[in-house]
Amino acid sequence: MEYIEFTDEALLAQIVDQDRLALECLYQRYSTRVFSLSFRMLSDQGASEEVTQDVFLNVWRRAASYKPGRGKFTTWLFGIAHHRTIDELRKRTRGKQRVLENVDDFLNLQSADIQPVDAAVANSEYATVRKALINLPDAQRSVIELSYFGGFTQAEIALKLDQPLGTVKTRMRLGLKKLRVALASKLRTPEL
Amino acid sequence: MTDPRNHESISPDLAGYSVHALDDKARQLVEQHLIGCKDCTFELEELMEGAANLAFAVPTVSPPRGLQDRINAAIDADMNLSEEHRVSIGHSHPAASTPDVSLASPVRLPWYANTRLAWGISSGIAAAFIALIVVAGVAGIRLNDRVDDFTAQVAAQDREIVSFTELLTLMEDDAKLASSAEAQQVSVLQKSTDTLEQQLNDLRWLQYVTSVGSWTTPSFFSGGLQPQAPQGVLITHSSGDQAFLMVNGLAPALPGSVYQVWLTYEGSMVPGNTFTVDQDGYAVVNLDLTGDATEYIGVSVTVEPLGGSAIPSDFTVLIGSDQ
Ligand SMILES: [Zn+2]
Repeated sequence: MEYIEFTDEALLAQIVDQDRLALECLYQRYSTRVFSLSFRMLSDQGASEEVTQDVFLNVWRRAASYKPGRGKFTTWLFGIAHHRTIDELRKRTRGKQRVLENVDDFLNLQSADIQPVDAAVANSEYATVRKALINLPDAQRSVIELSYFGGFTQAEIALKLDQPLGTVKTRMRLGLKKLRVALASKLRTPEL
Repeated sequence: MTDPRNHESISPDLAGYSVHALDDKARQLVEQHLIGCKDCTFELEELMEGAANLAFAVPTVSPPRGLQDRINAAIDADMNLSEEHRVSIGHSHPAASTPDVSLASPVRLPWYANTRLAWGISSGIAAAFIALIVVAGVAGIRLNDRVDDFTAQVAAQDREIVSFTELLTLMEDDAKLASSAEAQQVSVLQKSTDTLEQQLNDLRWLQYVTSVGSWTTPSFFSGGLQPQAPQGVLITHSSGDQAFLMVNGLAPALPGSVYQVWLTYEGSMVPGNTFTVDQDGYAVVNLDLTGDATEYIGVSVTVEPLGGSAIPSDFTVLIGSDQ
């Protein structure tokens, strides 16, 4: 099958037609990303498998609701994956006091694993995104990491960091916009 | 309380919304505001794109090999269920006499047949989840006209496909033609015809439900930026005294609660019927109107205590406006 050459959006159109090979192709492209994101946030293999399964079932069932004019497929996909994982995370932590650790470096951005050892790694999305994150002002990066990976709400972050809620909101907004601009032209469809 | 119509007070929350970092109240306000604000919708798309990049910032870990098989098995179960659901629609309307309505189209199922909840939603939070509703601009068009229009388009495209295919057969021997413009055009046409056919199926089903009479379809609600959002269609009789709301993808209401429909008129919210959804999150609600359904400016569905309420609660799960 020449599906491997299809764009994500073309595969999704096939899925609207109940084409299971197209779903398999999208699964090949993105399941590792979805699973990794969930696993990083939940640190639970079983729960992350469940999330990944839900996400791809959701792609299958709701392919028709994706509007091509409203952003990239990956935005839609990772939006679903993140939301589903956050739900799981909040279910687990409800009513429990959570401790903020690694506030300044939630992703261990300073650690050795992002020092590219070869060109392939250096050019990977992984390295590209982490570089863009490192380039953000610390204050913007930490609120983004706490909310996105830590699952904390803006109000929780404001409380924990002892900063006004409005400041947290502004930092998050600026940081996300910078990330988008910095990476808009850099990321190709991964693992093609 | 913040007014959801106030752009200045809502837009600072878009970033939090894009990464699911708002509490329920703030999230509801953003979702209500998004329905009417194009600027915020656009900014949200940008912020979501920025946020999606973060998924690439974690080290990769492969999922287990068996996971894909499990997903395939779940899809098998899903498709069997849709199959049963379709049959039950047919049984519940035995008297309908629109012979050209083929619910058994083998090509694909319309959206309402695909009614399994995308998430295994089970919590109260899910019931309070507001869907962002995007209203497609079909106000005032009669359902029957729309069906005729689509039928004609599908037929025209089918004819074109046939003539192109004939042309291709004539030129079959020339190897270069395998990738010719004509062949590409056939595949493009095929694709577009498929899309039209799906819309036609949906419309025929509405036609089937409403059977006869002059019904309008003022509001198609479909999931907005949240792909797992519930969906709804409001069909109003042109006389204004009858209307149906079809919903899809709503979590079953929690014990002790029901869903309730509200019609928004200039300056007031008129309570409508209460209802529950089946295990697939699906329901057709006869609105049992007291006012004129052609005058409403919006429709919403809330979660209320058993028996319904006179004033809507804050737990809105569907909102649509007639733009
Ligand atoms: Zn706005």
